[in-house]
Amino acid sequence: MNHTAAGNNFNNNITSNQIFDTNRLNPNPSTTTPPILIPRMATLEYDRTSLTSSTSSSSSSSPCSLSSTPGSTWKKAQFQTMGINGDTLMASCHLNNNNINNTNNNNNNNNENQRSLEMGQPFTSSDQILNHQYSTEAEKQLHEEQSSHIEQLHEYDLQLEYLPVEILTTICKFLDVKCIKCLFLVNRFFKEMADDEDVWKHLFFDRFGPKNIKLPKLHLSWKSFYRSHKTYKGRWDTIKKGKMVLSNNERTVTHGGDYLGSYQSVRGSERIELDSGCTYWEVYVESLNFNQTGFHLVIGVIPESFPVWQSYLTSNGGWGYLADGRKANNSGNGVPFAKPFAQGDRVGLLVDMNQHTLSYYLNGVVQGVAFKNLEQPVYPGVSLLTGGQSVSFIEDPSFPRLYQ
Amino acid sequence: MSTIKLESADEKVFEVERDIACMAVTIKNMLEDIGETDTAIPLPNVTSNILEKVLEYCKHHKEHPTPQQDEKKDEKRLDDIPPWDREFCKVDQPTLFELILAANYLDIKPLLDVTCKTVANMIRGKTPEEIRKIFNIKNDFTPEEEEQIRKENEWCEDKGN
Repeated sequence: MNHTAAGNNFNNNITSNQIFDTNRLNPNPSTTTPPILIPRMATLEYDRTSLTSSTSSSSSSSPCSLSSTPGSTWKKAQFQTMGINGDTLMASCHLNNNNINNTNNNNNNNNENQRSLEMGQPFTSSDQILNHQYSTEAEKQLHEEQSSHIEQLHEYDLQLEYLPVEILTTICKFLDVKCIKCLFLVNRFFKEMADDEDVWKHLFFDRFGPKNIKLPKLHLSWKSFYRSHKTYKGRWDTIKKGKMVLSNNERTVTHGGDYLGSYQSVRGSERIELDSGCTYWEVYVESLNFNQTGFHLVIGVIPESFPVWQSYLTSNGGWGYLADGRKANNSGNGVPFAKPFAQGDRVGLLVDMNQHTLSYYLNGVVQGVAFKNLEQPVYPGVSLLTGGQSVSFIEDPSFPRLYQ
Repeated sequence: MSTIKLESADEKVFEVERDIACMAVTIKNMLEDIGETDTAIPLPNVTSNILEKVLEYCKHHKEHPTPQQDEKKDEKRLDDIPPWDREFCKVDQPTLFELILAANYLDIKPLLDVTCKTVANMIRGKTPEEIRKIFNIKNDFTPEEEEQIRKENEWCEDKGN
């Protein structure tokens, strides 16, 4: 039969001849079964009954053949691993199982289901399809369309594919996101493997934190939930900036006035939409000019309606963390919130649009949730009071773990 | 020291110390089920050459127990492999994959971990093209599909990842 070298290696411990001889007994599989997805992967059986009988069953049948133990946890592994459309797979899985049972009834007086399963009936049709010589290119193409899933399975000459999906998942769990993203581009099989929900759930907890987080309803998969945690890509807005001066590729904003008490605000160039997951950014306090009193520097977020020109961040619908450690929303006063920050400090902001919250980090240390009422799209915002004050977006900050 | 017999798929019988064999949870459970026996326990999914390797692993780790991993260590990425295990895993790919399957079937978690880590290390830090080369596989994406995946991949490239 038309085994690849790799297939043969793998089947070392499998009586492959027996399996494929059985195929020959069924010369026209398409009349009895729909095209069957062939799991070219061994599932190892652990059958206690065969043990308790304590005789070596090796003489009567193939003791080490591929087997599908009904009800075993391997079923999932056996059928889901292939890098094809998951729905097709599951459908085929059921067909395949039915097929197994039928053949049992038909040709087996032996009561031991297990043994008959070991004969490998599920492994039909594919090799015939492969061996078939196509008379025309068109026919070949047609056939490829019809049985593309089978073709794909045999195209791979890859040992890794034979491993059950749990094992592939275990392997992926030792890799980080960068590697997993790389796997997406290898081929279809690897893409499927890298798309596994368990892998992404593991990546999520590994990257972002505590295991008590549940997948929010908004997100259909852990992968999409993972992806919704991103850093802010915008800079400062070149128009909505009051009397401020931008520099450093619009990353740094400096108060352009030279007199006291004139608040100026600037907003970010990109809006953070509702339902957009979690966005994180960090602002570096370049210069604070400490000889001021009062609300000398405020870092926060502002709504679309915020009048940037000569206005103070928290008194016009904005949400802010003040340099003296207070927080305020739509109010000039504010309440005690966290540590004061100073020149040279790094203030991190995490907008969670799943929960409509704004949390702060100071030099990487979480300061807690400041606000829980971000019910509209927002922009990053900063208010500066005196000339010379300056803050910058930090380039490519590292997204924090959500909770320590 | 009591011993038991294990029979591989190709009907070779191995006599091993009970303690060593019981590092395989599957065998341990079997022994609990059937009690004392002189009959060789059939392991129809493991060939003799693989079983030999597995028993070598069990024997070494019985004699050189690794310190119990605490909870905290479990949390972090487990990609560090002890030198002996690293040497042990220097085998060709089919053997490595068969070891994985055997470790999984026999339920020897440390061996499963170390073999899976070895595969992960083969993948880590490689480009897609390099990965294809390592596992001798073809790129079956169309250029359009590849472009699409590249686009989808362009997210969250922050340092923390």
